[in-house]
Amino acid sequence: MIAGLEDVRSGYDVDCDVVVVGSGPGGAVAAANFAEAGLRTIVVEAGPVVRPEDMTRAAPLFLARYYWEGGLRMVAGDAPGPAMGGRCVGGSSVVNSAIMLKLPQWVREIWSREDGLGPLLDGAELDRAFERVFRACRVAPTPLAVMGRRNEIVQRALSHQRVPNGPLPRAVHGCEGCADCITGCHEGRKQSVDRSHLREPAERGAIDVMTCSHVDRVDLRGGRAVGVSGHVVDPVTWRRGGRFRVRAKRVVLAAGAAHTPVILLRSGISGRGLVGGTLTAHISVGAFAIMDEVVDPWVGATQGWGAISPDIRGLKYEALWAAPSLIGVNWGGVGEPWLRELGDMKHAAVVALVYRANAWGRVRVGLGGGPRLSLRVPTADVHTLMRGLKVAVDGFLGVGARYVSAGMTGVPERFGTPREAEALLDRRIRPRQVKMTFNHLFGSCRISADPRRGPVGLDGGVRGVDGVYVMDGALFPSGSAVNPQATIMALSDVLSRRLAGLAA
Amino acid sequence: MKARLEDSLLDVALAGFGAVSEALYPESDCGAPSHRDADMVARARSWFLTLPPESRRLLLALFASMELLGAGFAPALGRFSRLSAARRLRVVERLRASPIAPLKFLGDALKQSTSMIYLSHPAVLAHLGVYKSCDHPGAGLVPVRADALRSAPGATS
Ligand SMILES: Cc1cc2nc3c(=O)[nH]c(=O)nc-3n(C[C@H](O)[C@H](O)[C@H](O)COP(=O)(O)OP(=O)(O)OC[C@H]3O[C@@H](n4cnc5c(N)ncnc54)[C@H](O)[C@@H]3O)c2cc1C
Ligand code: SF4
Repeated sequence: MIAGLEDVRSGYDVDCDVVVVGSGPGGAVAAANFAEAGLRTIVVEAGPVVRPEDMTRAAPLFLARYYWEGGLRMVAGDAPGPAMGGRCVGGSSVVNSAIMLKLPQWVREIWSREDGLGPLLDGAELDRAFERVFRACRVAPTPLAVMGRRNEIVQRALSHQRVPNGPLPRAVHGCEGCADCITGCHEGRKQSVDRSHLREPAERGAIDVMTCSHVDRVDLRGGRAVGVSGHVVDPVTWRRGGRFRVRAKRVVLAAGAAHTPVILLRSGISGRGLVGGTLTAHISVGAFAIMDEVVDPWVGATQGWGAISPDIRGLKYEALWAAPSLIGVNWGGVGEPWLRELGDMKHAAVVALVYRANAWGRVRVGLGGGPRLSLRVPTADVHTLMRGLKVAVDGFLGVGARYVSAGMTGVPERFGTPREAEALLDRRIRPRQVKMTFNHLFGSCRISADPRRGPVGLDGGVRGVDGVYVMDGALFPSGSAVNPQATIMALSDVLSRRLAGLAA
Repeated sequence: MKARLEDSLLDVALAGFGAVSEALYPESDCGAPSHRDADMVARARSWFLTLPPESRRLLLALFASMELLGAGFAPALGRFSRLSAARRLRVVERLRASPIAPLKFLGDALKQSTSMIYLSHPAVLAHLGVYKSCDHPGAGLVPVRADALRSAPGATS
């Protein structure tokens, strides 16, 4: 059953074997496994179900309703920037681009070496978990037929720079290439986890999903989990409803890297300062090319084409589009000159660079009780990112771009030649000059064999309390170097199957 | 009492939003819709009211302080909306170019939040030429060159 606002509005008090907090990629996989093992499973989700009839392409309104902080969540620090996250059944998988990539071998080795994750990562168990996840989410390379010119130009630009490239594997079935992933898939083609993992068990009554229910804390008695409690929130008026309580001996936190540590901290579990203390993120920038030809960038799979840099370890390129009201906000200047340039948007092609930087920071409990995020981005990593950006800019210019812009300060607004783009290699560039985004957050409750490095043990259990587990992006010891959803799901699959006693 | 305070904050913030929009999205002969065509203030109102309370307060504070204090950035006193549109535009430009990080942040936030509203109006989307492949199946979906895959099979999987 999926309980909507009217079912939960006045509060509730229920019990089950295991309560999963958060219905995103980590939580959905765990819940499906617990249900498969015959455990009475309740998923508690702060956001509502996103129904196709409630979807709007007016991005500000969609974000206001279905993203945390209305889409305005920020990471503070030396390079402040947005860190978006879905607040709805399915979590960010509902609003993301559905790119699904396996954890690279070299990152597995780092995680094994630094945090002793060998027992989780080294055998065939994780590979089988990836296979299960990919099957459930119908992952396949983006078909050439729905690429559109924008993806094609990115393909040409990367090939021009001899960067090996290809169609990105995505969790979609029958994608129509409407480039609207960021406001949910109106056509129902994206295989977000509400579809791939929650719908069927919820329909047959194996899982109850309590929506509009914000968990405040884990309830503990004598160092043992006895459930969670929180309050109902109306997703339209934002009014508080009644209080709720879910009693369970096992509590699985999967509220995402920003929220899981907040729930632990508000429950008095700080893991000797480690909870929230090792937040990290991929850093991301975009290069906007204006081509001579008409591109119609709003046509074609949102992120259909990409590449892994052969020269810079941990750097990815991916073609990108989003609603003009999101992608266009950093575009050019202001006033009439800007209005005149708007016509150029149909000539645009965009590539995003995503880099596994050594950016570390913290999640704290903010004044309103939500997460307050901060990160320090090393200047050296920004210089590496700029090297990658130069490759993208040169690639676009090499295939006929009139100019390319990165929306940065302190360097020319536009690069018309590779020589002008050498400004990107200036060692005086500082993090705050770069417009970064941080949509891949992790590490805020690191899993580690070493209790000095992470508050979560190799069984996913939070050290120092019984019955509290973490199964989401907060677990990553460091950046995954590729888009994280598949790895979050595979890790959650391994941990939850072990906990439920299912065959690996 | 609290509700009345919030209502007046909303009014002042919308005056600020309108004043910034009028300056940034003026009537012009280039065919782009103006702030008025894009119904900026009414749509900002419904955006503000849809936002969760903390984010709403943040934006209301941003535009209300711009309305009440923004004129201080120009050598004139009074409310921001009473300055001429050209002057308001210069204030925003100066903020965005400021070497002082919080001022630059403020300038960028004004441009970003108003352009979110501007760029989501159907008339503006029509001006940009936006159409949806799912509304017009097949339109503009040019397949990538058939040999594209040969450049590096499996590079990303
Ligand atoms: C715009 C965007 C595009 C992206 N594109 C990709 C991509 O293409 N491929 C990829 O691999 N990754 C992508 N990512 C990242 C990826 O979506 C996330 O890393 C992933 O969804 C994280 O999964 P999670 O389970 O850890 O948390 P989430 O997806 O954040 O899910 C957590 C859930 O918990 C709920 N929750 C939080 N707090 C509470 C509480 N107190 N009480 C109850 N419920 C709560 C949230 O509402 C949410 O539903 C993208 C992210 C964004 C924002
Ligand atoms: S590009 Fe459009 S049709 Fe394809 S998955 Fe994204 S939202 Fe759905």
